This record gives sequence, structure tokens and C-alpha cells, in this order.
Amino acid sequence: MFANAISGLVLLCLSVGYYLTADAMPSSILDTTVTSAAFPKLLAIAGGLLSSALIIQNLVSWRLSARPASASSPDPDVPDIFNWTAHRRALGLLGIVTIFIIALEVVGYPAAIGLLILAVSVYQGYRLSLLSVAVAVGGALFFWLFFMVFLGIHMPLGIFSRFAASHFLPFA
Amino acid sequence: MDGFNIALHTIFATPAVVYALIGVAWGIIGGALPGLSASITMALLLPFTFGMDPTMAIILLASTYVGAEYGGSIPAILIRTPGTSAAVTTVLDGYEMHKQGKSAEALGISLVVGVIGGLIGMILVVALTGPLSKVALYFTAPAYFALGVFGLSLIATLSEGSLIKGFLAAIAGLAISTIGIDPLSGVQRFTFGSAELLGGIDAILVLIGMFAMAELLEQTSRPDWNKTSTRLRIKLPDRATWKRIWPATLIGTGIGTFDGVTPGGGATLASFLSYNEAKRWSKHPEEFGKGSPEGIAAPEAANNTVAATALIPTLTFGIPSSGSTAVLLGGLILHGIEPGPALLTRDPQFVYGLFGGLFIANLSQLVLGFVMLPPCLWLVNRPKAFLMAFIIALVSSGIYSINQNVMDIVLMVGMGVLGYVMRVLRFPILPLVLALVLGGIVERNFRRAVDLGYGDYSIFIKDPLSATLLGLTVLFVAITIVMNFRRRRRAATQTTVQAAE
Repeated sequence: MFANAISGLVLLCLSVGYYLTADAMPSSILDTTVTSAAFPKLLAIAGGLLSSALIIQNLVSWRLSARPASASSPDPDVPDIFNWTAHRRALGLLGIVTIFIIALEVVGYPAAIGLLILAVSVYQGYRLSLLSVAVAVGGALFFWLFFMVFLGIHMPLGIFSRFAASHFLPFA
Repeated sequence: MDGFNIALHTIFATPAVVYALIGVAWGIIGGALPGLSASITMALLLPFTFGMDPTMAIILLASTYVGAEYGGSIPAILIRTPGTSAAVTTVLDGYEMHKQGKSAEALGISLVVGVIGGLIGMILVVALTGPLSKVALYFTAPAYFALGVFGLSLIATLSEGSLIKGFLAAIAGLAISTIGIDPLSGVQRFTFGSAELLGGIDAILVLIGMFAMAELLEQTSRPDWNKTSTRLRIKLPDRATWKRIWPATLIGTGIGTFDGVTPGGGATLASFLSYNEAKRWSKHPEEFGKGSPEGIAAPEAANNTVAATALIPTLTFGIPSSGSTAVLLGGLILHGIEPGPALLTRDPQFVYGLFGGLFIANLSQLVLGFVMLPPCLWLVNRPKAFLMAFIIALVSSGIYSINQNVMDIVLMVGMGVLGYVMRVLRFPILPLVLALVLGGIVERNFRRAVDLGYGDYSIFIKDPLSATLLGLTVLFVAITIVMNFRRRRRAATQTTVQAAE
């Protein structure tokens, strides 16, 4: 009901914070008639005004819809934020990607990318089987060959870096 | 060298043809996979364009857009699931033809009219870009700033949802673009002591995060799509079919041209409009929705024409008409090419080289449409779980490969989360992305203009072109507010009447 007003309030706070940070910026000897803070300040003012407008708009439409005589149509701009199943699923995927980011420099790129493929496919509903493991291993091999061997990009090797240093792995 | 010779030189003396073919092939695959829109398919390629010649990089990206518009019709016809939003109308008659055992004919119509639409669109692009770029002489710093404001306002007002949210998204994009060392004064802005933020937030991280990562987060709760037979072929239209579909093809091309050059128009709107008009002017309107070949020809011609004509506002004014052209604009900026009225006079090698590459891209669809069908069908039939896993792996690897920095993946994922939250709260993403991409140019011209006026802001009114553009911005916003207000009042009245009844 008040999702837009709350969004507006958050954005208003951010606009104020953005303005104060811009205001605290040091001046430079290279500054001309316009300082480096001028444009951000302009944005902060516009952002503050529009955020306030969003809050007011939400409150006004809430008051109008609360009138007993009114039978106003549902506002298409009011978000449906309560689809918790979808948010939980998104959060789970986010968790997998976060673990991948942490694992990247620990276990190295080839292992991390293989685990990422396996974790995402299982999370998306494909059962953990020999096939899903084979796809993950094949995927890791493909990405390793493409990025590290073909494109020559230095990906992290983590715990395998000592092994790679003894020239067993190319382009490490 | 004139434009034609530059285009020929690009085609024959550079690897442009190879990049055009790769782009179209990748675009067809991306378009054919439901959930991967044309913009996401293009965004996924962005990290691989680093280090490439700018002309080749943009040919690759623009060819991907061309291929994706055709690719989107494959699942629309075969599994009733549009691969891209522009293929939504193709579902109506395409799937009906598939049910009648005419999948090969439906795919053939989509392919051929797409090529025709794309080629006509390219001819118009070549014809119109030259005259439009002549206005470059009248553009000063205040006018460039006003053009940026006009473009952002246009996208904010035309984006789906609330006008206020559209403008707030644009402001957020401009604010993100101010992060990092100020190039004019050397002052650190909004870095909060982080060395990672000194260079600012790369537009590529925002583009991939907002388009690809946010979509993946949203897709995770959606079920797998239907599967189809892998033994399908394409059959080009025969003479009788041609006779029937050419008026619809012309209608689609005409509407596609108009929508492509209109900022905020986009391929999806063009598809809907052309479908309606083709039905209105058809000799067999009763067959629409029941497997009419015209029902495929009109929207497919329209969306492929848009893929070409959308280049006009993107290149000459820096105003994209859709998410796909916003990614293309991002690609231009990332490769140091500043779009605007002066682009043709400043960099004719790039502009005509791009046109040459795109002619090849459109023509190559006729061959690649056949060649790419079996791999597309194979991919569509894979479990969605595996495809998602590979896309996430590709996105993460691609982002890391740019600077070999884990922080880039963190920022990209952060932008993906922001994109997801914005989708949930119904804030449009396009104004934010566009503002971020154009932020540097808008701010630089703002400061240059105020400097020119010795600190006097009235320079934006005194400059005639700037005043006209700002006036148009105010007018456009006012019209949108009035129209929204009337629409809401009409909807409220209808609901009251219904409630009373």
C-alpha cells in the first residue's frame, strides 16, 4: 500500500545524503566557474523534489481510495512486493553467486566455475546425477579453455597456483 | 573516400564480415532462447569487445541485435513462447501455423520478411543519417546539454510505469555516473576512500548487471519452457504466399521505420501496431489469429526494420529507442565513440563502416537462418537449469576477464540486485542505464556551457537550439502528465460505473 511512499522516503534520504556529500567536497585549483560539486548538487535537489512528489502521490492516492464512496481502479504503478517465493528463489541464487565470488580466489577459476554450474543447475531443479556432474565438469573445461587458453586471460588459480607454477598448466 | 567506398573498404579489407556473421549467429541463438532478450544477448558480448577495433566491436553488437530479432520468432512459432518481447505478436499466428503442420512455412516467412525489412531499414538509415548530421553545425555546448536532457526526459516519460519513477531512475543513473575522479578538476567524488571506485563504476558492469543479472534473478522462479521437435526445417515462401504477404510486409516495414526513428518506440510497439494495421488492411482479416501468414509477415518485417532504423536516433542524437539500442549506445561510449550530430563528420570511417557491416549482417541472415536452426532447436530443448547455469558462468567469467578484478563481479551482482529491486518496485531500468551511459557527456557539456556563460545559467535559454530543446522537454513532460491524469480519471470513472451497476 505504501511501497511507493517508502521508496520515495528512502530516495529522499539518499538525495539528502548525496547533497551533503557533494557539499563537503574539497575545491580544486582546476575549478572554473562551475565546481565539481555543482552538477551533483543539482541532481540531489531534483532527486529530493521528485522523491517528495512520489511520497505525496502515494499518500494522495491512498486517501482517495480510502474514501467510502470511491471505487477507484487499482493503480498500475503500485508494486506487488509480496511475492516472497520469487524473492526467496532470487536470494538463493544470489547466495550461490556470492559463494562463487568467495571461492574464486580460494579454489581457483576452473574448480569454482564447475561448482557454480553444478550448484545453479541443481538449485534450478535438475537432480544431482552423473549427468549434472558431467555437464559441470565439461562446462568448467570449456570455460577454462576459452578464457585461459584461447583468450589468454589470467584467471585466479587459488590453491592450484603452486601446481600451475611448476608449468603443468598452460597460461596460468 | 565517400561513404560507399568506405563501406566497401570495410567489408573487403577488414574482418567486418566475420564479426557480422558471428554477431548474427549469436543473436539468433540468444533470440531463440526464451528469457534472453536481444539486449541481454548483446550485453553478454560486451566484455569480449574490449581490445577490439571500435568499428568491428559495434558491427558485432549491432549484428547481434539484427540476429536476435529473427531468432525471437523461432520459439514464438514452435513453442508458443516469444524469444524476445518483439516476437509476442508472432506467437498469435506463428503457433497456429505450427499446429497446422506449417512450421517450416512460418519460419520461412519470418526469415525472408525480416531480411527485407532489415535491408529497407538500412537503406533509410544511409539516406537519413547524412542530412540529419548537417544540424551538427548548430550544436553548441548548451545545445548538447539540452539534447541530453531532452533524450533522458523522453525515455523517462515513455518508459513503462510512473513518470516520477522514470525521472528518479534517470537521476539515479546520472548520480552513479558522477562516482570517481572528476575528469575536469581531479577531485574525488563519492568514492568514500575506496580505491576501487576511483575510476568510477564502469557502464559495462551496470549494463550487464541491470539487464542480464537482474533477469536471471527474476527467471529463477519461473518454470522451464516447452520443448519441441528437433526435426524442423525452413521453407521459403512460394509465389502464392508472396502475393499474399507483400502488403503486410510493406505495412510492417513502414511502421517499423517510423517506430525505429522515434525515441522510445522500439520493436515491440512496432510489432503490435503493424499486426493491427495488417489485419485492418487485409483481404482476409478473419484469418488473423488462426494461422494467417500476414500475421507473421507484418510484425517480423516491423521488428527487423526497427533493428536498422533505431540506429538513426542512437547515432545522430544519442537517444536510443529501446534496451537493445541502449546497450549499443553503451558499447559506443565504452569504445570512445561519442554519439551525436557531429559523429558523421567527425568519424565517417566508423559510421559508413558500420553501415557496410550491417548490410552484410542483414543479408547473411538468409543463410544463417537455415544454418543456425538446428543448434537453436538443440539449445531450446536443453533443460533451463543448465542454460541458466552456463549464462551465469559466462556473465561472471566475462566480467572478471575485463580487469581481472573480483570487485567487478561484486559490483555487477550489486547492480543486478538493484535492477531486481527496481523491477519489483516498478521503477523503469532503461532511464537509469541511459543516464549512466550519457552522464559523462551531459555533465561535461553542462559545465562547459555554464563556463561559456561566465557562471550565468541563462545561457541555456539564450542559445536558440538549447531553448528549443528544453522547451520541447517541458512540453513533452506536460503532455504526458495531462495524458496520464486523463487516463487515470477515465479508469476511475469506468470502475465507479461498473461498481454502481
